[in-house]
Amino acid sequence: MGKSQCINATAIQWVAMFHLAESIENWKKQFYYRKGISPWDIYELSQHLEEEIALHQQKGLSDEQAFQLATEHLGTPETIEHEFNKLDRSKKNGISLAVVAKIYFSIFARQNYFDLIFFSILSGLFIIQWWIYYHFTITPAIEFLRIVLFFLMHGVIGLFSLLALSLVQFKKINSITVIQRRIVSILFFMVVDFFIILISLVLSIFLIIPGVWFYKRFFLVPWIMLNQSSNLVSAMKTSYWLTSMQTFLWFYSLLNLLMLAFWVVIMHYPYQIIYQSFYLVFKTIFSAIIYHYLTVVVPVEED
Amino acid sequence: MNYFSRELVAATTKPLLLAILFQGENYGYEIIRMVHCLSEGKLEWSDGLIYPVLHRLEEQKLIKSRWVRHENQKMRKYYALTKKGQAELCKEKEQWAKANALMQQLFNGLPCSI
Repeated sequence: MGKSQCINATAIQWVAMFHLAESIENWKKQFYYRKGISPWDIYELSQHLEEEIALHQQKGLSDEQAFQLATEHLGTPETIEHEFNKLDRSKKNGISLAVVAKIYFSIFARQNYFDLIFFSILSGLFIIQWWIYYHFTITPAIEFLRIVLFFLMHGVIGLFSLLALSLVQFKKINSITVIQRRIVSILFFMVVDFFIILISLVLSIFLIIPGVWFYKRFFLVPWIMLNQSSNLVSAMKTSYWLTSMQTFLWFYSLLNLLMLAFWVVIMHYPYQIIYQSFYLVFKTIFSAIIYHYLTVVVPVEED
Repeated sequence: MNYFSRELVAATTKPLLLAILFQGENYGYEIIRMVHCLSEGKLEWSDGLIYPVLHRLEEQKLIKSRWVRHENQKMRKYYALTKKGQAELCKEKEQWAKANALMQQLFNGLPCSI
């Protein structure tokens, strides 16, 4: 009898906790897309809400009562939106290029030789491709070798993506097993990344603004999938939401698409290999930094 | 029911925030708790409205903020007073002292009990 009571009590507690988490998520959703409220404002408000709930729970209130009281104290989304709207955020509505540059240099200044090793491997592969192109008559075998090298190079880019992500999140890749565990994720990352670029480029052929908009809103999808193990739909929603307030990303997306268009133009020239490498490394590093900025917030300091 | 009028609450928000942050960096939730505690529950802010005010003070460079990651991996935004904020606080203190002296002078002898 006693045992069954324990089981029932645990089950009820689990349902209640689940309900609370869901309620907090729903409460946060009320602030999405509200004018003047950034994702970080919502994060700050939700942290406040959670602390208030915890306080009421300590006083012995149920999850539901604690949630009700805490949300009442915080005020309605409309009132909060009204107050946030009064702020002049025109200057802060986006990431400044200086901030991105600052993060970039601070990251690479504090790292070991991983970036150098990857750059070296990448450069080595380009040089081999270049050398083959100039010194051999193109036969099916040589063409095959070049394709293999091309794929190898993109594999390195995939690994570089993982490295860049680890760098921006200040995590060290200490063992090869970390990379081994993420190989499938890296391949998936490359496929999703490719399709996001392809769709943006195709859209841009017809109309530049929808193309740039699409890239701006969804270029973080592969990063979110790689890092948060989300499914495609959930990653698209997150990416759409995270990039909503960042005007800087319009320029970043436009730059990316212009660079990509230029690559398409020079595709049949031998020096496209150098340009391609530059573009991919540029895109990888900056996307990682922006992803980091939008999901972790800078400057981050440990307690 | 708030003990203080809405106008008075609005007028005291800025000097209160600056004065609290003068004691050291702090975050939104704790600031509200401090105000609640110091005023013995008589001064009630709508919790969510403190953040736009803090952000406005930050825009005016009176305070600065930084995100701190905690052991549970959650982030918390801490606010601290800047030098400009300290100067502003001194100005506010002077103004409030003068206003208080004036009010004391005028209220002296009024037939009301507190």
